Amino acid sequence: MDKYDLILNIIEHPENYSPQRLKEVFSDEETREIYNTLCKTRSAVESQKLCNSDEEWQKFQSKHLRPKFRFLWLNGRAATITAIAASALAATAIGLSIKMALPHLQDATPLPPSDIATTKTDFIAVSSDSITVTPDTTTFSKKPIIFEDATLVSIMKSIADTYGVTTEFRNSKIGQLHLYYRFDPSLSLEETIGQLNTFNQINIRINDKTLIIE
Amino acid sequence: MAVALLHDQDTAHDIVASIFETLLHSNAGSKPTESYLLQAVRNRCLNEIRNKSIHERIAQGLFLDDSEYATNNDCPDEQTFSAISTIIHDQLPEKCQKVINLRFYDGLQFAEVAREMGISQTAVFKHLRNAIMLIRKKLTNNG
Repeated sequence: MDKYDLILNIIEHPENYSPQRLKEVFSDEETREIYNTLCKTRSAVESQKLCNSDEEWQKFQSKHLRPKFRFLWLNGRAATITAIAASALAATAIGLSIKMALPHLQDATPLPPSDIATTKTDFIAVSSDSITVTPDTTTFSKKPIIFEDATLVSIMKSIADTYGVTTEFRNSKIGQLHLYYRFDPSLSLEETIGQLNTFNQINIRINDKTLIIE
Repeated sequence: MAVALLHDQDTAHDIVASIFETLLHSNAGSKPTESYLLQAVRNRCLNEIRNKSIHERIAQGLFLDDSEYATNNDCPDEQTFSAISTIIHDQLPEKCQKVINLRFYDGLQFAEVAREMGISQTAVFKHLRNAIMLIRKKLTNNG
């Protein structure tokens, strides 16, 4: 039996050889080199089973950061599609040139962003090329916003601005939570808050026009 | 990279998931760089390999000598893997290619490869031996 056959026998049935016998066999330099070539060949073939790190991170996120959301997504897809279709019809009916002042806002002065407990929304002056919305069922035809490693404060500010509500953080630490989150403005406020509540650390409830975050 | 080092997809996935989980629960504010991730994966894989017995290493086609893994690169020797892949696809006879794919890609034992190809196990050994000889010769010639 030559060295190649010996090595192939060993890799097929290593249990037939004692550790001492294996060390003796592989003490020969050429045998070791043939074995190493075999290992590299296997690695070359295995590496074709690509493991894209970005893809894996995305898969890991969807599995571990939003465990409940997967269930919601599967069951809510029809509702989401219906909501998007309904908002498209509403946008067509209303047209592209209506302005609307949101009646519940009393202070039209824009405020600077803040990390303190409460924030207020800005007065929304809708320009001629945007869509009119009602405060509680916002259906801006905006593209989804991807928040990568953003604080909850910044995410909530964007949500508050979109739906014309205020936010109140009852827990100052929760605001500094960093998240990867895809905010779809075409969803209703309740649906958006439902998505965020699938994160174990987050508990948001809607109290009239205020989002209370605990 | 984990799969290329460990030759075991399940363990590779476990290690990568473990690293992601550690990063997720860490206080690091910024997204980790690809270089950091690759180095973390490599280190965990090498720890995994070092704990394996000689039998386990042979069963999984791992190097027997830890110094074979001691490189200065963050990644496995991709140039060598690429060269080997090219040799396999461009220079090996069809039956040698098939034996390599069935044995290393599909993970079949030699007896199963023989059955799949309708040849004897001796013939399987012969094709694989010829393949390794050619790969070894080409790698040596290329330096």
